Amino acid sequence: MTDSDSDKLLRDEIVLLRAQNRRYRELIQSLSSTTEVLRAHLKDTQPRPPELRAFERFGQGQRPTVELATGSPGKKESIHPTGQSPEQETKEGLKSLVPTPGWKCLAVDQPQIRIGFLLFGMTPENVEEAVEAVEQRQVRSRDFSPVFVTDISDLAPFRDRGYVVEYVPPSITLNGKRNRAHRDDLRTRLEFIEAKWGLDNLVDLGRSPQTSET
Amino acid sequence: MTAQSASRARSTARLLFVSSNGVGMGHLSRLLAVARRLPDSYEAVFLTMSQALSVIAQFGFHAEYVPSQQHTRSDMTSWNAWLRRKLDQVLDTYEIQAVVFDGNIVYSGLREAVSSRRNCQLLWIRRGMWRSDQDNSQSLLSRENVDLIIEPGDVASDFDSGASAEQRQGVVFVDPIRLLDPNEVLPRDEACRTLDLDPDACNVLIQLGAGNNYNFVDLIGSTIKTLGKSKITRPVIAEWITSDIGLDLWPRIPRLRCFPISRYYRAFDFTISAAGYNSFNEIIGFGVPSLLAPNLNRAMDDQSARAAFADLHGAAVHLDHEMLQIFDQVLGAMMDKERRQAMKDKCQLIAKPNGAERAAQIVVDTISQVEIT
Repeated sequence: MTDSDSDKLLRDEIVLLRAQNRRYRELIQSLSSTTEVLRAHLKDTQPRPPELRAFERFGQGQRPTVELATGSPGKKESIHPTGQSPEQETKEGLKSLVPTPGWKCLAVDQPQIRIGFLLFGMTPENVEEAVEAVEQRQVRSRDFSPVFVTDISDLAPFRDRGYVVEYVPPSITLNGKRNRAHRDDLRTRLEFIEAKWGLDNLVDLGRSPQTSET
Repeated sequence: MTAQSASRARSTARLLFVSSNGVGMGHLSRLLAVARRLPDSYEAVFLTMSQALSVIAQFGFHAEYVPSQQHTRSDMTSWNAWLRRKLDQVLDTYEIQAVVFDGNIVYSGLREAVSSRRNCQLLWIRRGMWRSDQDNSQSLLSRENVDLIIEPGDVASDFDSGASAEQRQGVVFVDPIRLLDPNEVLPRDEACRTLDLDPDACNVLIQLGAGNNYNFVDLIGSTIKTLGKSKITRPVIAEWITSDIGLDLWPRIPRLRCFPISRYYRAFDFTISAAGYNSFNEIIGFGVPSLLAPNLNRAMDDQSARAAFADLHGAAVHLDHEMLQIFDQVLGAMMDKERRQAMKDKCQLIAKPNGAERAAQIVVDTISQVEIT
């Protein structure tokens, strides 16, 4: 047997081991799965019973209501280089938090890459689609953990998939006055979120970036 | 500018309502109940760990969200450090004068953030009925730096044998805090019309909780199977909006997914319910005949004591182990209209008024005292 044949055999062996490893991971995931994991995998395979969604608007108008204005903080370069260690610390000495990777990748080793996905100025339907697309990508690659950042208050798309989400409220009116500082504060908020979760990169999936408003 | 001087400048005081992420909606519901009863000169902002964020907006309040420690693979110490930083930002941004917290344990990050400010108060709405077999020492110790504890009463408080019942120094009591007053519960016809239910049928609400820490699927299955034998019953499954699991295993049974469910109680002839704080005190307060199936998870409050109390007074049936053995018969007995009316009457005898208004007043008084000094 030549060195070349030996190398080829070794490469084949590695490919085989990788495939086996992947299969074992899937088996472990299934065996250790909670109801949520199974449900995530079985989603949409059953007929849905009727849902009585009534009374959604109860309470409105009983207190001074905040004025909402959706928008996006705009695209932004990451403040961290790609591939930073998850154990990074902020300059204040705080250790970044480790996000749960989502139901479908619960049994996967903690991915080294953490990506923040910005979902500003999107409709709930678009948010649902975006989160689902990220989930599909994650299930295929199994090499990253997402942290979502959104300005919609319905967190069901993230909860249903076991993802971490950070909420940045749209600019608001408190006590009858538009709080402009709040919008100016968006960049600070994003930096906070990046440091908190040790994000390696930010991906803006928002549709209509707006960095200013009148 | 301090929070107080800023507050005077804008002529309203701004309070931060902080809720932990419970299994259900209890912490958030109590805070909403108090916040919506504040005088107009007080403004409420929420910081919640509950994913029912949309409910806060539904009530017209501004909300911030912070993921709970359960959403991380990090330890509590690290999480608390980030909570502290988040709170520092929120307290500054909104110029908060006082924080009203509802949760089982006051997080160190919260205590540190508030206590580092000279003119910010920390009030803890601390529900009672802790299980006597729980180690609640950390919860009890977490009252450090808390300016006032408000304990919302419980219809079953006579059966409270938990650790908080023995440590009542510096605790102010109010009647059970309910989100809705009786006049906010829809009349039967209107509730049925909204939910598309037949007011002449026997409508049964199955509300066994969020299911996030207790498996009640078997009980729902048994209930639906038994009720299915009767042509006049119409079961509806309540699905918590914070539930991790969907209760869509019974394709022909409608699910009620809204908040607050108690708004529709009069559409239902009886309920099969868990005995969490809100559900229990609403069921008794609004006189809904019930079979109470306590959530027995050891991390929960003493739901068995609540169910036993109501059962003792004839206001509900406690679905304990023995009763579950004869569940079909118990459920059959609930079809009797007179029996249900008797239960309603008994509910009235043990019900207590809504303490939310009083709790709101206590919050205002506490802040006012600090303003004066």
